[in-house]
Amino acid sequence: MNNFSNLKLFPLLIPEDQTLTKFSGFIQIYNKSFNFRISMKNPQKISTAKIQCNKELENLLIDSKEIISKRLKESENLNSFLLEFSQIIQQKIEPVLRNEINTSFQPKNPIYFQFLFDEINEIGWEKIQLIDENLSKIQINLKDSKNRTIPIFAQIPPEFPFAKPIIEAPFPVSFENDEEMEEENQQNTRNEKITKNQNYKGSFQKVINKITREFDKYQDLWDNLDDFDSNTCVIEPENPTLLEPSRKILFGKHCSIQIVFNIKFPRSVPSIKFFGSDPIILPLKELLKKDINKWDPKNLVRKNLEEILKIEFPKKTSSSLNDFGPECGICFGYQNDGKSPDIFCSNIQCARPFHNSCLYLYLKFQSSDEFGTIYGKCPYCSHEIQTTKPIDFQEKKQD
Amino acid sequence: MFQRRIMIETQRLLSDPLAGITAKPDEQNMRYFHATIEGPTNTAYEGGVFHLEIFLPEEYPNKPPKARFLTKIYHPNIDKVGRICLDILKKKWTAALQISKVLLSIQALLAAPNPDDPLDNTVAEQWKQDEKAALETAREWTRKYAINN
Repeated sequence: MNNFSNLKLFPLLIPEDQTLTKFSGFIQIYNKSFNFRISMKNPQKISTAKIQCNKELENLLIDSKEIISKRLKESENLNSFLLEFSQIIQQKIEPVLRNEINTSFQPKNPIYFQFLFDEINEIGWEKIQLIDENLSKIQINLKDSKNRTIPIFAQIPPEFPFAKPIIEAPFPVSFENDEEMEEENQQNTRNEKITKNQNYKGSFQKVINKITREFDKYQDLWDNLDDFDSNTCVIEPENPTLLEPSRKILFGKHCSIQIVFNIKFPRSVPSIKFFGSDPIILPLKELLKKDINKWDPKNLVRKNLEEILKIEFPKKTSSSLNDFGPECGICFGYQNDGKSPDIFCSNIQCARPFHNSCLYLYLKFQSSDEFGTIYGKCPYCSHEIQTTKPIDFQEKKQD
Repeated sequence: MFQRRIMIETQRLLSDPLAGITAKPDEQNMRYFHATIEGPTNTAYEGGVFHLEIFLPEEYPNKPPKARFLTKIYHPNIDKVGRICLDILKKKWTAALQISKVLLSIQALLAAPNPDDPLDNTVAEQWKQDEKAALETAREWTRKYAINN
């Protein structure tokens, strides 16, 4: 029985016909979609498969061309190749889009690599999650006392070890603790014969120690974030990490609530924003205003919200996303040109979300635009609905 | 535009098949679908497999899909070239409907012919004058054209 289970790694890739020898559609990498097509004579023998994609993706894949060819020849069938391909994309292509790496990066010192190697040896190779192609950006995974993984990112300049690496961590931290370094350098010049230049040897470990000492301060924030991530349906950020102190979660019929935590006092009242149909949202806003003094900073934020708003946040299941999800009812997508749906049917039984541009286009086919505002019926429940012409709306030919 | 929606509908058609209905996208054109509907049980169309073509116009989902029977069928709401008289394919279309719902509605239409809203006048007349004979013709056409086709 042919196995195509890994197709789910590429949900926007579909077979062109029953023979299941040609697949086309889109590949999504980080925040971009690329046209993609793969065709073969036989899904069990894919060494002669052909890949077509748009120019942008081709440029991104050019460095990995050899590896991809190799995997095509080595893979037993399409299914195993898809797994390999997905890994290549994650390891090689995604970081490029994420970091916009300068591929003409050149270390300025021949000892760059030696020093970097020593640093990594000191902190431990097991902590390294990712190193980019240029060996200039690393992801280091640290663990806190509850064994949570906190990723930190270090960007190493070409002048290293004589220039400071830049650290991206849950809180501001620099490589320089001036007093410490001054002291050490003075000691060094007394004891050894070294170069006059200040260098950052051994600094990675120092920074990591500093960071791990700070972890204690963030335990409660992370407890709350973990609580949200495991017990609710998070729709933003797409891949939530402990570095982002905000969460947008789904509840009720197509409604969502966005919480931005107070980092210093995570159990205090966070910033709260509601998204959804007015007849559902407005009563909640009133309830929050009325009972905000019942907020108990001893409890988890989620518990406080559930008690004051008298709702229970649903857990993440595939059904919760299909029937009550936040996607636009016309294009079935969540983000459209970077915007999430912000118009909701005001019928409480329907409450469907729509992107302004999707709804405007749909209503235009039903009636005419009266001075920028267009009136019509909700496609799902026929209740009255209206919208105004989007600012960037173009009368372009569709497709 | 709306390519994502077409992709999602296509995936859903393949992953959640409907009883008695198949729909597959065409090799060359992702807006063109080859569909089949099994004649509903306890109707004159039982045992038959009817082929249809579905086409999503450029403005989809703001405009309805176009659907047509490719298999010859005797039905008051379907004419001799296979055009279908169904409200959701015309005035009653909304973006909330999908290809799957259209196919289900066509399947329901087979089980509930409506000679008062006809597409083919001769067939509708026959249906109103002598329903028994009309059903027998429908059965005959199912045997002739919709079995082993």
